[in-house]
Amino acid sequence: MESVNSIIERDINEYGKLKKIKVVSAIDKNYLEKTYKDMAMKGWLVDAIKGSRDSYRPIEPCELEFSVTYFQPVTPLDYPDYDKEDTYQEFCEDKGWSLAAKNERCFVYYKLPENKVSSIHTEPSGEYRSIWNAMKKGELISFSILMLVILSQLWLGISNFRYENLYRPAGLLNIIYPSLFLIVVGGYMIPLISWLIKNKSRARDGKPLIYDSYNKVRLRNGLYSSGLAFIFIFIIYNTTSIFSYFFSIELLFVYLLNIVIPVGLGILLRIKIKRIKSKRSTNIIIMIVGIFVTCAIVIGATFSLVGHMDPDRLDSNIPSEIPILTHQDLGTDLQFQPRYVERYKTLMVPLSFEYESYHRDYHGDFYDIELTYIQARTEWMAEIIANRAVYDERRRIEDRMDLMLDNKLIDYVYSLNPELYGLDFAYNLSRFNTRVMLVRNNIIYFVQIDKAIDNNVLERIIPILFGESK
Amino acid sequence: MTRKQLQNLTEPMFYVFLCLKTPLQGYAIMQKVEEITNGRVRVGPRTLYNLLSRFEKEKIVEQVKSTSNKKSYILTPKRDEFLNNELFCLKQLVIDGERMLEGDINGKR
Repeated sequence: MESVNSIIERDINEYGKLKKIKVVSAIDKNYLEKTYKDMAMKGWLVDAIKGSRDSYRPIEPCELEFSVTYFQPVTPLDYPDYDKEDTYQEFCEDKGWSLAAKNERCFVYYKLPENKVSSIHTEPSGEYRSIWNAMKKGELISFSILMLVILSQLWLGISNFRYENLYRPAGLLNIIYPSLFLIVVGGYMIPLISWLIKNKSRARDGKPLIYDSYNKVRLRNGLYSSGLAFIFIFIIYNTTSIFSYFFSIELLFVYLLNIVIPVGLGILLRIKIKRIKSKRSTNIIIMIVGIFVTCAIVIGATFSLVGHMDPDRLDSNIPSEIPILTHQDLGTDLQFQPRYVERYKTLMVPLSFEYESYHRDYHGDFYDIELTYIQARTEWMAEIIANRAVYDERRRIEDRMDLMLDNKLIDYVYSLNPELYGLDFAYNLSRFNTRVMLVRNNIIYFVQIDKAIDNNVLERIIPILFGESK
Repeated sequence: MTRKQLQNLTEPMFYVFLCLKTPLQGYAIMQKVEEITNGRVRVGPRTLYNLLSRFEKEKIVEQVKSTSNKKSYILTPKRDEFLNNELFCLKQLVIDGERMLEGDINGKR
């Protein structure tokens, strides 16, 4: 019989190769088979599967039937058993199935429709078991570890949450990034687990397994990919905004320590275990170089997006209409300019910044102003920040007072008289009358000055901070 | 009893056992199962691979040297007894079933 390859062969030099990215899980067997069938009709036969990338070679457009089967090493820490693979391949090829492509996880076979041979799987229980094994060593193990990491990050983010997190990108990132990841990964895992549960009894009863339709898989995987892309963009956006204002060699090392080294060591450990288990040599040096080159490219790309740090940029980026509080405003004749400390921008807070200004006079007295400006996008966001600030500060005072706390001190964070200054909120946030929070028209100020509430200092600075229209 | 190892003896399993009284290669096993069941039972390559792996693990089947590069399989000697037991169980199943059905019919009549 003429081999299927000799019928469909086409000159690769004339047509070249085609590469396509796919996002699929082990339960998407039927989707893959249909995709490969459609591609064959267009004149492309899958000939290599590398992770999420499929490579196609040109063939005469024709109808082919595909079968995707899973066949992987005993554990993710083993090399493939080539003897077993050869036996399996021999059975399939003898039966009339030709191998199109394979990797460490699956084999893709094809045949002409007129070749009426049995399917590769003739027992649903065996088919179910092969998919279960593939998922157990793939999606389920990696997603479970990922979920554990995400939940730990979320728990850490929530337990350390303070009002500052609402206007600082780094703080927001700690909550939003794991939450988004949880939604995306959790959303992806639900159909996988549901498929396993639904088909377990079918496989036991010898009934054919049910797979999701082509369109349903496309939609599911499309949503998943979009979710991942969104998270990726979100992280890049936040990382760049953080690096824009805090570029430092220490931060680079933190990145290296937190991302590159654990990942690199994990991969190396896996390679090492595989090597010991199989007693086969592999070119580890090439792999190590590959890992570090990849990491260097990723870090380089991140830093390229950030650009260079410009020390003057922070001052110039504060809009001129925003009033700057100086010591002259407090009635002193000390001459100095405030120094900007930090400036942030998040989705909820389009502009926020902090500055401080201090001076020691001839008598050795120390004068200090620290100011935080937060421009919330909406009124409800301003309310959340303000209420959270009161809650955090109250809790901090209570923590410090320990067992000496009495009822008077619990109510220590008291309200000023906001109507007097045309403010929405005004709170004293410290035990020694040095820190106040002022809120008007979605703008929140935290002002820290010695005796801020005494000596009419507050009455002096409110008109300056909020302009004439008080 | 030996049945403990393979609690649920399915049709394909049973026919693969039957075929392995003499050494056979994978393809020949698949063909022979189809032949003796007149195409009613078909064993796919992956199903056969799974069954043979499992049988080998349970030491019910072993590989034998073949003239070609391809592997051949045969039942291990002591498993003849296992096959006879299975056959006996199945025969008994049919006899019991027929007896009960006849009894039912006679009862109704």
